Amino acid sequence: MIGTLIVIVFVIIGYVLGSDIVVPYAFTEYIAVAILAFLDSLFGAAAANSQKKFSIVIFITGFFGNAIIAIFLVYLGQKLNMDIYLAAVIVFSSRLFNNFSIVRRSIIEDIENKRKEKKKTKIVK
Amino acid sequence: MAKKSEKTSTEKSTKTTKVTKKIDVTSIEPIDKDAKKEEVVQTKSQEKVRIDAKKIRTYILLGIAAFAFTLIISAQLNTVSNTDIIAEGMREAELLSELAKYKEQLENLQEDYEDSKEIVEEYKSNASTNDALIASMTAELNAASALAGLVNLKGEGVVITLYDSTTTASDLSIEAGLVHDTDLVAMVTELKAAGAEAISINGQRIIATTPIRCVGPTIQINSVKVAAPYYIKAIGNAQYLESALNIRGGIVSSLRSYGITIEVTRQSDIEIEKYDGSYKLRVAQVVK
Repeated sequence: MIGTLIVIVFVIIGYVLGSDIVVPYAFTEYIAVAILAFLDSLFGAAAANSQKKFSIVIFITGFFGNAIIAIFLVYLGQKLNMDIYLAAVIVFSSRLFNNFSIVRRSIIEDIENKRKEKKKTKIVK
Repeated sequence: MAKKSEKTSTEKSTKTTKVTKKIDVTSIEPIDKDAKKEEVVQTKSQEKVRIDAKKIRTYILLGIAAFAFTLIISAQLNTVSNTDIIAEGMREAELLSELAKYKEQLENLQEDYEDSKEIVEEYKSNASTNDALIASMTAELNAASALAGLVNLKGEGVVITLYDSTTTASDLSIEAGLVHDTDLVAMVTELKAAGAEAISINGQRIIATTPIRCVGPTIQINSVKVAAPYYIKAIGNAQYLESALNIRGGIVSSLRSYGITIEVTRQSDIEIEKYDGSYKLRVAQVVK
């Protein structure tokens, strides 16, 4: 409960602070890619959590490291006049879908296991 | 290190859940194992404290990540909603192509503008030349019509009034006391010789084809019959005209000798009406 509260407070603070910021339009591309990197990290965390392999350090480093690399790719792509950031976009999106499928499967497995347990308990009773 | 500790913590948490399950299982058993239960509860609470501290740290880190994420997303949404409708949702490439399109349009429009500007310039120069031509032509026409007697003219000049003789001289016939067509012709010729620029007799403008001819008791001028008294108006240098008429031995004195009353008055502002008859040349053709 406390943990979720902390996270919610941080989310609210972030939203309130962010709503006052107007980024120069040229930077919106960078930020879009960074958002995608963040989303990828979040889904990766969810997948790791579902497999009981979640590590906060790995999550945090991946969260910010991926975003920084994605932004760097956008920058490099603009310098070289080549849309390198597309690589980051594709990788992040595909990983996002993979992680989502992992989460989905684990949840479904959990639900099925619970059902089986219930049946077993019923049989026991 | 942190990674390892995390792993161990998760392992521990799983262990604790197992432990609690065991406790649940044991709790269903008879109550003679109270002491054991208390011990287990104590260890459970100790572990809980440790896990809570770890959990809170984890959640704070998660919160920081969430903070960064929401901050960036709200800033991005804010920016995108604040930008122009045209730019919204367009990538740089699209905008560039759009820009190129508009540039092309601009160039086309500029070309059109240049073309129409040239046309306007042409028209303007033509108009100016036309204007000059028209002006010179109108000036010419005005001069020609003034000479031809097709316009009213005004200026200084003399007005001559001729009355038939009321008293006949003893040694002359009555006819001699009348103003004849030849008298008028002589008068007109004299005025022309003195530099008259426009002459009219009783409102009839004297033009190149004007006849002055005796028609019975009247005189025909421009197919109109006029009778005495005759008012001759002439525009020109009034002094020259007057002196030309009044010269000793001139036309006025010779006519007066016949008993004809002649009055010559100088006027500064005479208006002579235009020739109002037909001036169509039926036979003569302009030689080109």
